[in-house]
Amino acid sequence: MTGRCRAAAGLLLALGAATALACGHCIEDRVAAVYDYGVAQQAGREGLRVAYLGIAGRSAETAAAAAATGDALRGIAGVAPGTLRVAAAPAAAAFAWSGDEAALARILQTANRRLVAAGLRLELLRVWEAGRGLVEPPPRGAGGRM
Amino acid sequence: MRHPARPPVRGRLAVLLGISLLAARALAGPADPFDESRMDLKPAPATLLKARHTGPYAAGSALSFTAAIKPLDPAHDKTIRLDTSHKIIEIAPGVQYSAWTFGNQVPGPTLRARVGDRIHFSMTNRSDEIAPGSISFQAPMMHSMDFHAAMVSPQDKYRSIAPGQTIAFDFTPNYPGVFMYHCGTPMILEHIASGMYGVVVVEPREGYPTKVDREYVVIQSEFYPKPDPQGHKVDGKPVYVLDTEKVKTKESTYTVFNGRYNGLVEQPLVAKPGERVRLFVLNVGPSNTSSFHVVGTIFDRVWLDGNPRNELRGMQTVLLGSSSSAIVEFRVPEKGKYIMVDHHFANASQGALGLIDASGGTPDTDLEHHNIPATATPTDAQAVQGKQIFEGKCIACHSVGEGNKVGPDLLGVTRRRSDGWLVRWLKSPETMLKSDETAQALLKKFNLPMPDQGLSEADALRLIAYFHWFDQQGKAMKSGEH
Ligand code: HEC
Ligand SMILES: [Cu+2]
Repeated sequence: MTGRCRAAAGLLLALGAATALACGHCIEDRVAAVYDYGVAQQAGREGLRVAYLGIAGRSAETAAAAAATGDALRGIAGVAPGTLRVAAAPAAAAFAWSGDEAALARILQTANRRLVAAGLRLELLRVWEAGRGLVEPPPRGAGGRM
Repeated sequence: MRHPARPPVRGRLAVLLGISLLAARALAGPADPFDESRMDLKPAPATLLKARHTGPYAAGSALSFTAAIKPLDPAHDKTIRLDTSHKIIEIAPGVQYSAWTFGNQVPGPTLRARVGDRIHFSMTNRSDEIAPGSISFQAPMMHSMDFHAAMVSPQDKYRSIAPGQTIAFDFTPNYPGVFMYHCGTPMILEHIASGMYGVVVVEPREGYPTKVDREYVVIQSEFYPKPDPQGHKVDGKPVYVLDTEKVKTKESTYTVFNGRYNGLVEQPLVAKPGERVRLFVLNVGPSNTSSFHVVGTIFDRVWLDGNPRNELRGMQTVLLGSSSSAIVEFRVPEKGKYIMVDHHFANASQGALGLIDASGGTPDTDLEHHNIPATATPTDAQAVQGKQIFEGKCIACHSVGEGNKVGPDLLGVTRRRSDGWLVRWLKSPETMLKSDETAQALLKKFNLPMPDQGLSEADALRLIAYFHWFDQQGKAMKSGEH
């Protein structure tokens, strides 16, 4: 076991049941961690979409990382107020946004710039849209830089 | 067998011949029942469908919906549907619990199949609708299905789906057993403790090596209820929701068979004297271990995890961890009621009790009040009515002179409490728990707030008359004990 490996194992243990129980790797598990039916309903009514994101980074699965992610996303233009959800384990975030894919890409760019110092990065996992449900986002490059 | 170090030539030839014969037999056969070449290790990808299921929440002729499991459906292809739902279920008398389900019931329906069968499974997440005749106050959420009977990629088949989505996949059971299925969406602990589990029974290709007269499914699991913080009610009774703290610290309030406190006492499994009974027993947990025992008999066979290759003979109990199972078979020796328990008696007292009724009579609740002599019936009309109310509404949680159950033993209660206090308590335990210190101390001790029983003042007085009667009687009984 390398030092880093041991550190990772230690972290997993420290995080306890939450991480160990959930598959954690499954994209849908991360989505489920921040899925809020009320937000999807609201988005549907207001013609918005919901973005589900994974939080990547060495110390992603911590309460501090979840809080930092919340801080980074809060207040960015386009993020619908009151729709932001974050989870520590599995590490994920979600929010409803107004606008097209390029608008979402800009939101993520801003947030990721703010998260660099914390060694964290947001990755788009799924998008919810009225009538289509939960779908995979278009591949990188297809709808702006995501 | 031992060979001499240097066998003579003829002997050596014989040995060679023997070896080649063995090799030939190994090639031709008796087939290894776990031969991987006969297994399905190349499952096809799962599909997500847009169309959602409507109508029943479970479908498929290979499913059983009660403890009495149906015989194997001989068809090789088995199409089954288990949709998820949210609904209020009664887990103990008067305890309305906000459950999440497969097939709109807890536990979910039982699937019975055979090694090598093809299971065509589909599931719609219908947590965003409310089934006809049910009630739920729970927000819709994502769910998933994890079959322990399958060998497939969890990221593909066991992925979580959002309300309204449908997932479908096929699998082939490769091993015989009694396998758990459950929701695997985080927090898994909460999804399981909320009711999302069931059993897949997989028979060996050639069937079981024994013959039995009765087959039943017994599923043990725990519940961790707390009163709904939003104060929802059903029929005037409070709704309980999962206590997410207690479930983490493993402080269960109920440990039950087949989803209900003393459920298999209320509805015993029927058998006849002399019959051979096979039970498919699964301990779901999520956190307790079961030491499964049937009072008055010995397990002739125990097949650990439900696989006849894992055979034990003449066992008194079988120890089952979370998601462990066994098939147990035993003979019902004579007329009687054989009590199924988790021999961890703390668990049994939380409701892990049941009966195999081979008495030939009508099932009753003997077990519940066998310490009170049948003749010990009050004569005063008030007290008689009080006793009737008690037996209808209270006996699941209280005993008289048999020790604490979910609530305190009520023997001596008239000496502990004034009649005024008792009236106030019986009319509205909720109010008392807010304002009265004695009530609060009781709650601390018993962990579960007594649900409001919807009693009128008149009923409360009848009950108190009954309490006074048995407290008088109690003295008499004690002195006259054999
Ligand atoms: C679901 C379980 C449950 C049911 C049903 C129930 N109780 Fe209780 N009862 C409790 C619990 C638990 C307590 C302890 C106080 C608490 O935790 O709220 C209690 C406390 C009491 C007490 C106070 C005992 C003492 O030592 O002071 C009385 C009296 C009582 N119950 C009577 C009744 C009667 C009469 C009924 C039926 C009409 C009934 N209970 C139904 C669970 C129940
Ligand atoms: Cu679930």
